[in-house]
Amino acid sequence: MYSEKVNQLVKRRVTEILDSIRHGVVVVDGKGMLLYANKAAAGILQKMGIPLADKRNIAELGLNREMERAVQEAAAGASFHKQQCQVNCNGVSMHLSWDAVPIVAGGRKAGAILLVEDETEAVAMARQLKEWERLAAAGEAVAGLAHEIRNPMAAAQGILQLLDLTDDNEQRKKLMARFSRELDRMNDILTNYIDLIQPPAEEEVELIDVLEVTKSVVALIEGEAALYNIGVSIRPVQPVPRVLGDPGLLKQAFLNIVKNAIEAMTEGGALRISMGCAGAQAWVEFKDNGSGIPPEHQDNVFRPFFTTKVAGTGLGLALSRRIVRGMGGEIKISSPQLGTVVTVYLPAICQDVWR
Amino acid sequence: MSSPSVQVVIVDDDSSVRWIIEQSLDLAGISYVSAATGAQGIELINLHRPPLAIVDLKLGAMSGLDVLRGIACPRQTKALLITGYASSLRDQLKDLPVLAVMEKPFDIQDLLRVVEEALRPSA
Repeated sequence: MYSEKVNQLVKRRVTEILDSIRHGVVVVDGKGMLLYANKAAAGILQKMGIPLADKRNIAELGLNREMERAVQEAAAGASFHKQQCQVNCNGVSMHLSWDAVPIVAGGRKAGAILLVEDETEAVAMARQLKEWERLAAAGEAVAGLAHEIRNPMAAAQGILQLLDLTDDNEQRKKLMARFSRELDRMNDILTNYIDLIQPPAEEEVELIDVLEVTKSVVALIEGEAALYNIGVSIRPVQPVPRVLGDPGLLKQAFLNIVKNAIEAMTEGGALRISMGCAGAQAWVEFKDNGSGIPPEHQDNVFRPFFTTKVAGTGLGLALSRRIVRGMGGEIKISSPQLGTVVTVYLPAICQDVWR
Repeated sequence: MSSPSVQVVIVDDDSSVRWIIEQSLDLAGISYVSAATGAQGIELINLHRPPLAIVDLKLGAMSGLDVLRGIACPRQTKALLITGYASSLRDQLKDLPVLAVMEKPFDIQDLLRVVEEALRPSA
């Protein structure tokens, strides 16, 4: 008699506790018969359009099939953790996160517990946040674009006014030529910007010899490097890493990195390029001993229009990253103390296949 | 004291904008020197102590406001700020010797009006 009272008291207390939590708890026996569901579970099921009252077996609930099967398998001993699913009920889309775990009593399987959490609001909020971030980034990019393009615009407007003030034909010709240059510059800024935000129209995908691309980039900047007394070296490796992509785009990506390195070493220095393969990954490292990147700028270097240079557009590294990511790779940058190390990682093509 | 030969120091990292301002000042017979970086700008302003500096707001590593803060004699040199976008700038101009802010693209007649006003002896 006494122990029954204690049992009832414990049962009531456990029920109160389970009804206080926001996780839905559904308990079934080994045959899938419903033993218990807390308030939160009833609430979630009701939102899904499933009245709990007259149901006896988990199979009658009409849950999402994956969840239903998981509960049955959990009753047989399997465990499912942190599962996610999206269900559409009564025209409402719900995001659920759930666990299904076995109940073991006295060393024997005694059914399963389904734990369900309604994450619909959290998912909606995360989406909203992402949208705000996207808009903020777009706003920032447009502000950068405005600043860039208004420089040649200022010159162009001034030239039109100067043309109005002079009758000298030679002078007018010079001004017109300059006007045309400013228009070209506006066009270049826009083209760079469009390249950045749009995928290239016709990408030619082919097998790229990374060493060849690197050599062609170095050939382009050797003159400028010599001017600043900068030594450029490539450490060749065997086998040469090969990747799939558009060689023209990869060249552009490398060129922007190399140009940055040179601009950081106008007092002279060394740019050392090395490369290799680590498993399925090819890597190319560009290491300079230039001015480096102050810690406060390191998070910003890939942001479009971020620049600290006198004549920079802030698009170079942003474009490089876009190209590399488009090839399934990633760029990492570090500036420990002196100089900067930029490493490009790309999915490598297995050498044996191509040799 | 200040060199009488330089009336305006131009500080802009964009060569096109520097060029058009130089053309405008040439037109009005106003003497100037130009700087392409903020550091060079501060140096030239403190060397020549001109009555006016025309300073771009965005100068790579340094901002135009940093240049104004680096002026040794703010009583002597007033500034005309030029910028591609002037959003929420006003609050930051407190206590800085800023005469006017002009947005690019600007009218060179307007620019010259502000410059001549600043250079007038009573100013």
